[in-house]
Order: sequence, then structure tokens, then C-alpha cells
Amino acid sequence: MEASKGTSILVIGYGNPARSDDGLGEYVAQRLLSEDTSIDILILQELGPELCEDISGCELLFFVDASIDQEEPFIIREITPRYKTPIFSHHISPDMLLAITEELYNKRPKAYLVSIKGYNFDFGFEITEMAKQNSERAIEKIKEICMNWRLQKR
Amino acid sequence: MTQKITIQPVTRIEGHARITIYVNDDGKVDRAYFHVDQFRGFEKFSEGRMHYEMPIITPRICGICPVSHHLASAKACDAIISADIPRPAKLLRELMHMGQVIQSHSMHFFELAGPDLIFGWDADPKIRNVVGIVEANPELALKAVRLRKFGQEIIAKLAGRKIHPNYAVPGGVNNTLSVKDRDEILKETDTMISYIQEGISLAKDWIEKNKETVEEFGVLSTGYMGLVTDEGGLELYDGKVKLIDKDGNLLELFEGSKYLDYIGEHVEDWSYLKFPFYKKLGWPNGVYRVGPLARLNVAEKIDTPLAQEEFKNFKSINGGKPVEGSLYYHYARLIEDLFAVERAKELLLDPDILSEDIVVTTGRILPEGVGVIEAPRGTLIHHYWVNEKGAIVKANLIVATGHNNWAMSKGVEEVAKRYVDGKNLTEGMLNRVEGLIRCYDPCLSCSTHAVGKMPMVIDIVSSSTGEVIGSVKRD
Repeated sequence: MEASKGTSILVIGYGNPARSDDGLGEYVAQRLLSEDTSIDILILQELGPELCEDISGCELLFFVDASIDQEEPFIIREITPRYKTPIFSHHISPDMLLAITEELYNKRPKAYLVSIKGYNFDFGFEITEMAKQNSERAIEKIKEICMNWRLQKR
Repeated sequence: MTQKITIQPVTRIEGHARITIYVNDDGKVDRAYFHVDQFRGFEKFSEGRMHYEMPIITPRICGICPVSHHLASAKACDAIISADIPRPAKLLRELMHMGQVIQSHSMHFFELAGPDLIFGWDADPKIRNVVGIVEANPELALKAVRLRKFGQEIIAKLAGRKIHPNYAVPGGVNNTLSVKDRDEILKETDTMISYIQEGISLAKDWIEKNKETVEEFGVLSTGYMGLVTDEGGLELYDGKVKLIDKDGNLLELFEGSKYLDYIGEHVEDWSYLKFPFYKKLGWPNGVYRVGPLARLNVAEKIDTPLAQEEFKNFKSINGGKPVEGSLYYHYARLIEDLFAVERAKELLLDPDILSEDIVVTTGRILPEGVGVIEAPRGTLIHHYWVNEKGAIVKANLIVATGHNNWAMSKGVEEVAKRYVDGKNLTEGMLNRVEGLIRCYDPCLSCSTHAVGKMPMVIDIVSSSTGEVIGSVKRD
């Protein structure tokens, strides 16, 4: 499920929606699109190198993923390009994806990693209520960042 | 005292796995195991769902080859409703499958196998990865990105999304292909062929320069299994299942729906992944391999011209007999990649691909159905049993990586014995062991990918005391 309007803000929600709260990335991306149709979203199970092309076309970027081991309901932190050894073959970390994008396309969008605390990662398509509440708080913060960024662009 | 070296999880493969190497007092490897820790619960998860939901549910098994699960599932559903799907629907499904093969095979060679081949087994792991390739050869990296994207665009143009497609339905597909989309894919095919040919040159050059390694690394005597056309050619979407022995002699040629007559599954208490084998030869004599190397070993030809030329070269490696070296998987994978783009071009040029005759309905519900397809990593089997309303009462999935389970475990042991010195352990030694696994490009799990989930740890443990002698963590 992808939108590609070529606008400046891209939200990449990733995770496996068949593993309950691991579907938080998709949930948040869809919620944001429902409130602001001018943004682009990409919904993926994991990040691959071909995303560089999509990333090279945006100016403000959010990676949204569920988190297993954090205490906070959500964490938003700015990330910059960073090379590191990939843990998995087919999965590339957001900061490494930025590094590859910069190397290949000479583009470096302002980027944030949004990690949202999840509680249940067992088989199932339902997101827990607590995870949804965490997501709503993260969504408000993402909207705030977008608004400030747009104001600065004027 | 025996030491135990554990590599967990194996880098640059998909899923949760560990390698344990037992080393004796002299530093020599006694034995080694390839464990799969992730329990796959999708079969149970599917029970009670309607059969027509399965092509949507099962792609969630994997974010890497969702199309293969999607199509194998749809084929099983075709059998349940007893549908002979229209030719245009077959063409469209096969086109989607070619997109999957192109994106998966291209990524594997250029980004996963490539680092070992380009930088060498002993190179610094900080550069021996996709980022190293980007820095060393950005032009090649960009081509790899474009190849993968090309495959994914085929999928997206048909299904409206790159992963977790909702396209194939019981009886056919749910969307036609527009002239505009056909032409957009078509115009890229020749460029993509040239990119893959560049990869083939790179692989052949590496094989030539490393002949000794290639001929001794993970060489296993097994049977081989894969789908073939009626004329014995390479087949990825349909066809019959062909099984040959280690010398290339035909063992069986059967309809995929009869797989239970030929394939058994062995269980070991140290792995969640079962070990399939050929029933008539029993366990472990009946072990076989699947995937690119196996498919080229069982095929007698390839029906596209450029891939056929490479296929002749492949067949000459062992004088027409099966090629056994695990590293040849990389070469075979690229030949299939070439075939997939050529085949996609053929499909796009077929006038029926634009037809609106894309689905049939029957109103029938048979008690069971089997779908078999050649996923990028090998033969994928979906088998569903349903009640009179069409709800799943039982599901059996044999994934490609399962067929190769024995080969990966045995290969790990052979490579460890050949290259690992427990008294002078180097990262390059362990990378060779991981490299054996990467030949098979396994996809092991329906794992989550949440932040903070996956460290890479290599533990060296004394098996007699349980003491951790050394530990390496990769971030």
C-alpha cells in the first residue's frame, strides 16, 4: 500500500502487520495520511536498498517502527547517514539507508526515526490499545514537526 | 575439553538462526550445527480462515518473497475451487512472479553475496557489506538498486503495491494490465538484461580466479529437485516436479499435488525447521537440494536465448552432471535472473497479456488443494484442507529453505572443518561459515523487525563447563 505523489514529506511505516503491534508503522502512516493527504507514505515489511530512490525525492522523512525494548511510549530522534554492518541481509537500517542515498543520489533529507513502544508481537492483526495510545502521541509530535518545517520553508 | 562457538544470528540472511561449532582441545572442529530458532506459527494461525483469504494472509510470512507465497496460495485455492484459470491470468501471474525473482535474485547477488566476492572473505566486515560496494563501486550499486526496483515495479504495476500483493485470487487475477504499464516495463527490459550480464561477468571472473575455493567449498552429494516444463526446460511458475539423484539420474517426475507420496519430513531436536527428504531413499539418503543450483541441475534447457547460452556454460562445469559446489548457487542465481527478465519480456509481448479474460468462478469446493511454485530460494508448497464451506481446517507449508535444511547444516560442518581453527580464530573464518549459508539465501522466519530486536552475537562457549570463553557482538 503505497502513495507516491512526489511531495516533500515522506513517512515510511514498516513492520509485519501479521505480528500484532509490529504493525504500528503501518498504523501510524495510514493515520497520518488520513489527516494530511499531501504527504507521501510507504508501507513496508522491512527496509530495502531500493528505497533510496524514493528517499532521494523527499525533503522531510520519517521512519516509523514498533519497538520492543524501550520504556518510553515513543521516541523521536533525528538521524543522519551512518554506515554500519547490516545485521540482516535483506533489512537495512534507516541511518544506513540515508548513507546509501547520499552516496548514490547526493541527497540528504532531514530524517527522523520514530520508535513506538509495542506490547504484543505474537501472531495477529490487532494492535493493542496501549500501543495505539502511544501511536497517537507520536502522531501529534510528527504533525508538530511537519508544521514547524513547513513554517520554516515559507 | 570441547569448546562451542556460536554464531547468532547469521548476518546477511533473513530470520533467526544460529550456528554452533564444537571445537576440541586441539582447536579442530568436531561437528557443527545450523539451528533455526524461530518457530513458524502460520499454519496454525491459518486454521479457521476462509481459503480465499490465504493469498492475502500467507504473504505476511515473509517480506522478501511475499509474491511467491501469494501465488502458491492462489494456486492451492484454484485447486480447491477446481478452476482451470484463463491463459491471460496465467501470463499475468507468471509476470508478477518474474518480478519477484528479479528483485530477489538481483538483491542477493549484488548486495548480499557480492561483498564476499568483491572484497574477499577476510576483508574488514566494516566494508564487506552493501555499503562497501556503494563506496567502492557506486555505479554497480546503482544498477543493483535499479534492478531490484525494476522487479518491484512489475509487482507494483500489477498489484498496486510492492509487497503483500492482493492480486491473484482463486480462479485468476483481479486486475488487467494496461498498455501504458506494459510499455513502461517493456522499455526497461534490455537495460536490465545488460545489468545482469555485467553481474554474470563479475561472477564468472570471480569463479575463474578462485577455482580452487569454489571446487572445495561446501561440495555436497545430494539429490536435486525443481519444476520443469513438459519439455524438460527450466520452469518457475508451473510444470511438474522433477527429482534427480546426485549423478543426474531421474528419480521421479510428478505432479506437485502428489508431493506427499514422495517427500517426507525428518525432525531433529536442535532445530525448529524440519528436514524434507525423498521417501523412497529414506532419511538421510534421500536428502536433496532446491533453488537456483538445483533447478539448473534438473533442467535440460532454458527457453530464452541469452540464459540458454549461459546455461550451456553452466552444464559444462561438471560435464553435464549435477554441479555440486555450493558457491555455484551464485552463478546459477544470475542465470535465472537473466531468464526472468527475458521471460518477462516474452510475456509482455504476448497479446493475451492485455486480455480482460482474467478470472473464472466455479461454485465448487473440493476438500483440499495444493499449490506449488518455484520461489526464488526453491520449491514452495502450500497445501490446504478445507471444510464444506471452504474454511481451512489444516494447512501444510513446505518452504524452500526447509528443503535445503540438511544441505545448510552439513555444509556448515564441512566448511567449519575445512577453515575454522579454534585456537587461532579469525573473523574471516567465521565469515566463510556464514558464507556457506548465504549461498542458499535462506529465508527463515516470519520474524518481526522491531527496533532493538536483533543483536549479532558470536559466542565461544566451553561445552563441558558452560563458560563463555569469548563473545563478539556486531551492531
